[in-house]
Amino acid sequence: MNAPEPADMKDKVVLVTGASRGIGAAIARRFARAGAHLALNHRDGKGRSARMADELCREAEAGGGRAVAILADISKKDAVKTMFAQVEAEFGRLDVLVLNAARAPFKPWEKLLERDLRLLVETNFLGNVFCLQEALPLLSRRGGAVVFISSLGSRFYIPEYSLGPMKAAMEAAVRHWAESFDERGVSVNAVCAGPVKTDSYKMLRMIQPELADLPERYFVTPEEVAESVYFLAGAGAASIRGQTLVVDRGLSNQTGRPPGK
Amino acid sequence: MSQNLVSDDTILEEVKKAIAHTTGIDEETIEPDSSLVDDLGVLSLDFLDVNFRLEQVFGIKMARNFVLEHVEEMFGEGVAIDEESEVTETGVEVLKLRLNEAAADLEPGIPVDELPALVTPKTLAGAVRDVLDCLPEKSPAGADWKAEDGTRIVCAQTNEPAALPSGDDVVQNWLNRVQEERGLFSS
Repeated sequence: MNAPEPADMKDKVVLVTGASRGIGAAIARRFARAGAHLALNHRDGKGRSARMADELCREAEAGGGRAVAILADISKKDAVKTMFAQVEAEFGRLDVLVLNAARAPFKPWEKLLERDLRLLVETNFLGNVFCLQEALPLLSRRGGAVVFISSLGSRFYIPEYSLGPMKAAMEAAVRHWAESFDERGVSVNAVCAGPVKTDSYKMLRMIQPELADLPERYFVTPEEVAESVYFLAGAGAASIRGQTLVVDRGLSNQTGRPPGK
Repeated sequence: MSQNLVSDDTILEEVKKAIAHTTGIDEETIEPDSSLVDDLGVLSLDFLDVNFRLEQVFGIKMARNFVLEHVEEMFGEGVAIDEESEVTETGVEVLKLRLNEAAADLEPGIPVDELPALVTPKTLAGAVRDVLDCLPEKSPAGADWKAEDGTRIVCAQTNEPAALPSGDDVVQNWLNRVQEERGLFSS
């Protein structure tokens, strides 16, 4: 499908957390293609991750916008403050915040150490709240959009996937935020992605070997998730507030009966 | 014991192949003592791919948790890693016992985030070896074992794959032995 590219993202400034790979990178590419300027957050300053963020910046700039990679661990409030100060210094505005970064220990609940639990909450809940708080003054200037990336773990049991309850908490926060910030012209929504073959999948397939039996048609691509994020951030979704759009090729509709071949 | 059905050379070759496959690095350039992170530029997340491939090749379960995480789970949080996420003296002692020369220069206080740099093809091969070494003398059918395709150990009679403990079980058993012998965690 080659629909004409709407101009509503041209020269908009988009910050994507956890942008160096996987879904985050696909989202960055989607906005870059529409001529947006990008702030690409990543956490790992060493080796291939930093290189991938830099490469993505160069690739994104081919779309006509500017792009900068910003190193910050979103679980640290000070680092988040610095990141948004950098965005303001670099671009002078922010139109879209995509909360994609996530980090989780994959262990059974009874084996999670206090450190694991703090990491879980500090990155996947507090980190997103820190980002929202710092982004709000910028987003409120002209109105903007926040899109959170959730997963099916928010509503279904996935073994050793302690991230699931964090995603559920965030989907609830999305509803709260949508109401809280509507008056400022800031929309807040989420995309709940089905299984995507990214890094999480690498761990999940080791925990759940039966994932290998899931028919290929149920796997969502990072680009498909990115397309929905792009929609929710744009003018076409202007009347959607506090919703979580499930993008799972119908997998969750199959609950209660075994998936067909 | 693994009865040397799978040779050390085969294991190391497969480890190199897994790294090359995951990262696109030329297999020939991978040395047994190369640091996956520092020398080969492998992301710690790529370790999952390397381990997954090794699991497929050898029909085993690699450890999902690092040895110090097991220490903390078994003997209490703070024993191996302190509140600053740095390795304690006990943690360093465990790493030296577990990784031998790969951990020889370690000092207490090293950030946990830097530990993946200790992983080398040799340490990964050692982890595979440790699991294969848990092979019982005979299969449940009372028969000998054989190595299918040179890497997967199966019953010579029934072709049933050998039921080997997971890498995590192997590490926990090892830690229990260390505790019995040295009382490292008894304070």
